[in-house]
Amino acid sequence: MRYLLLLVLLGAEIAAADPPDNYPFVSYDTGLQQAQQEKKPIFLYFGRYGCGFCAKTNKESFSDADLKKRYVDNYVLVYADAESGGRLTLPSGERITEAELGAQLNVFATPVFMYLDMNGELLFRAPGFKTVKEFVDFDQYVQEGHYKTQSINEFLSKR
Amino acid sequence: MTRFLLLLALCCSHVNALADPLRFETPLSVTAVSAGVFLHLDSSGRRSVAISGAVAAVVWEDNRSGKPAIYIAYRVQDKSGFTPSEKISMQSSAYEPVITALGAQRFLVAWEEDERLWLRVVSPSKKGEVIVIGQAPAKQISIAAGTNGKIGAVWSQGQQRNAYVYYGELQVAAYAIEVVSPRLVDDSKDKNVQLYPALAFSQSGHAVAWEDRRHGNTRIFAAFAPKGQPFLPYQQLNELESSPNPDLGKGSGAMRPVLASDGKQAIIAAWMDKRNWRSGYDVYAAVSENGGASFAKNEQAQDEFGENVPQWHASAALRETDGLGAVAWDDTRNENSDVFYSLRKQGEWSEDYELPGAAGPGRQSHPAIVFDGQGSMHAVWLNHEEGHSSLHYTRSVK
Repeated sequence: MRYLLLLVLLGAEIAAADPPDNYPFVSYDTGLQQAQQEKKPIFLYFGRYGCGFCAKTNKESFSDADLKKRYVDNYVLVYADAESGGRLTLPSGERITEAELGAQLNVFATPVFMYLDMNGELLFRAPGFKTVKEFVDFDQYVQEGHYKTQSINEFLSKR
Repeated sequence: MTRFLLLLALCCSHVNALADPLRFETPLSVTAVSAGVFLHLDSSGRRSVAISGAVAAVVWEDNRSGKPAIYIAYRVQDKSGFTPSEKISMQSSAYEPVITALGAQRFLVAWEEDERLWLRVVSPSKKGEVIVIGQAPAKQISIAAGTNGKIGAVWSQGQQRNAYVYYGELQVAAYAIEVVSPRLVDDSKDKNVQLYPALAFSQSGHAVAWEDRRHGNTRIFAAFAPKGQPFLPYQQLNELESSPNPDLGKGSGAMRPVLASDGKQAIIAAWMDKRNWRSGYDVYAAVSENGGASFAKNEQAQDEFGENVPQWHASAALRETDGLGAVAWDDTRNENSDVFYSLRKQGEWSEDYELPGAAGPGRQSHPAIVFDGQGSMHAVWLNHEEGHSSLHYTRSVK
């Protein structure tokens, strides 16, 4: 029983720093390769250890089962810790850290959600806490190809 | 009228107290690489340049050999260029080198390779044996030497949430290194992940600063060891809001502490701090006047013009001759990344100054700075322009 309690406590602590539970998030370099293989766009989640709005998004939005199925089916899910020294290798061959990736992509507040095409090109970025509905809207913008003809704000203003 | 004159006098006295920008030599190229090769000036404590006598030495990592390796180049006796790059790491992929000056034109270099940490004494004429320090897995080593002859290393050792900061004293004789009893810097029961340590020596002991995650977010902690004694309990360096917004979690982030000493009793700590979170990281600093035993209140090292963009890659230096403090970093206030520095004189930070040669077209970033014994500031940084990378150096002149 004590062991179980310890596991629960440990899990709660890890959840405060990490992507939402039970989602198949991978690292940025792995995700770029996977996107090419699976011909899927990339959902890139930049978080930070102790980031309150990340925890809020995990708890209030990513806990939604339908949203989870939609995003797992439609994207290669990538998570990056904006403070991490974890190493990545970019398609160019450059080796950088997750924190450096954040610097290059100008991620200065977390969370930041980025939608990339399967080649890693940025489609748009959505900083801050997002609701389930917002994530669904973003998904439709990407999956239905609206990004080819209009900005995300133009798309959202018509809904 | 009297009031106006008084105000004017006060303003003038304030302005006069601020440090003027330094004057620098024309920058030199340390090394340049072709497309597909990537230079990195990343390390715990950002110690990439050191000065021993009339020799300046720069260490970095690049993949010119097909895998990341550690290289060094020297500028000897005011020559107009650097020596050719020399590889100093071994056969595996190597990362995050640091350097500190020893006497007689020698330098101590450390880096990570095969999840272990390695040390080597080098000079323009000789390379000593490579020795290991700590136990695998270990990473993020930083090193320092004090004016009292003390030399030490700090690093993060252990897996994931059991990664803790260790300190090891080093005894160096010519090119031979002996590691003396590595030990935990913080032996408290509640410690959690500890990363990116920095080290500085003062006359009364040595101070270590690191990233600490025990409170649920990343904070900057420091601990002081009086000369010949164990480390005292840690203190938190980055100040938090007294009534934080609960939506912001356990508090704003802070990361990558650096330390610099004047060789006497002053130590400056600097780090990237997200307390003004809407504009990303700012550069904050705290100064100790008692050898690292305690630090005064936090100070914002950058000026207001950098408020709208994040700052990255803070490096710090402290001048032995007059206590002038300096921090350097890169930011994008001019659209593309440039290197800036700010000077701390009599407790006041100057405006931000562009580092000559490290601003303009292309991206200039990842500065590392150090003062020499004569009071000149030496700086290195990366330049990325039209797909090519190069590493540059400059030195301030009187």
